[in-house]
Amino acid sequence: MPATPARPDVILYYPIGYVDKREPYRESDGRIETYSNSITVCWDHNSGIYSENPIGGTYATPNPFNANRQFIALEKSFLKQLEQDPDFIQGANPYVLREKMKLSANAILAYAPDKISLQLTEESIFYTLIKDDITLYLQHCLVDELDGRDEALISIQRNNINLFNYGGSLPEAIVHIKNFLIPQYNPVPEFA
Amino acid sequence: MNYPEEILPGIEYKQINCDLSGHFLLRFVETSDPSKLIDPVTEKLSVNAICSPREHIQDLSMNLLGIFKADYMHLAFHKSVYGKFMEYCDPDTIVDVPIFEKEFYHQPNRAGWYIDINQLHNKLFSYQKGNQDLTAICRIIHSPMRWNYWHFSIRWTTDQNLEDMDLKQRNNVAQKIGFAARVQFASLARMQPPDCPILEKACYCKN
Repeated sequence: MPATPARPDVILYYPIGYVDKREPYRESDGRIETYSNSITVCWDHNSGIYSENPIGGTYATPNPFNANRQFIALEKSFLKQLEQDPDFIQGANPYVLREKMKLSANAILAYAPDKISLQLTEESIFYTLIKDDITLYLQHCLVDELDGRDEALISIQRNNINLFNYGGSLPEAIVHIKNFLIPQYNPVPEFA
Repeated sequence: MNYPEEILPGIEYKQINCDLSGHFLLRFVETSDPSKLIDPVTEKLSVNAICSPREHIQDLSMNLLGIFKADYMHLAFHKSVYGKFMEYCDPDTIVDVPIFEKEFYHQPNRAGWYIDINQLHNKLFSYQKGNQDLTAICRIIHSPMRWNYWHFSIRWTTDQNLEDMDLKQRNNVAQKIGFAARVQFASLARMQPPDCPILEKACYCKN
């Protein structure tokens, strides 16, 4: 379990491989602590520098502000693509589409991706996400085919080796992602 | 511009059933725009460049590289002659040679991707649909067309009894298989033509 911090900007150390599922929180002095499945992640609010790992290994380093930046970028990309293809889904309300996009985007940004992209495909929003050595593909189907809920398809690969393929409701898909990636924030796609 | 007659079906040809290990399939897409071909995140072929989601990948058209050269991806037909050339046929069907401009033309805005047959044929894809674990097997089948004897199809068999399903359910299963397959293809595909052997004549000639 945690060793005593050696530096003021370092909060906790965990051994590599230790999994901590606690929610991230903000310290009273402005530091924000998050957790990863590989090692403690610390970010100094004042310096903007990630702490070094004193016990070896590599950091998975989610910047809590990255999620917001990434969300803005995704939303911009979504709106631009929607503008370029107004018949993307005939008769669909752009406001509803945007809200649906927010649900799936927020849900996967919770995994603090290293890289993420969004593409509108036929009646779907297609995300590609890389986090460490995991590549996640998520297709958020905007037109339901079965029971009225938004459906999603996911495929998860590690170093090009397929680990998992799933098709079902969006909330269920998000739950399955948790078996491979640890969320840094709490994804809540229940209303999809 | 002359049509490459060596890719047309002919009386001397037979169905290809031999081992195609070491050979590659080519599929072309109707764009040469890199932003549509390459996924900026993976820096590989975009999953959506494999085929459109609506195609469901149930019968994906491919071409066996070898006698069919990568450049032939630019052969395009006018819609008015689709019925004459874009149809499946027996391998030994005798067809007219397409006429340049009247029937076919050069379409420069295409790009191709290439995949090793070994990585697909008889490979099992598993996926979860709701709470069910399902499997599908990928098959590479020679399916000559009137414009191209070297046309192949990627098809699927599943452990689901598709005959008992209604169309909507069948499409739903196909959608799941298709997604998993497109992702896998995108990670395996090459963007540059590989060095590829020419198929032995005994594999495709009757005598």
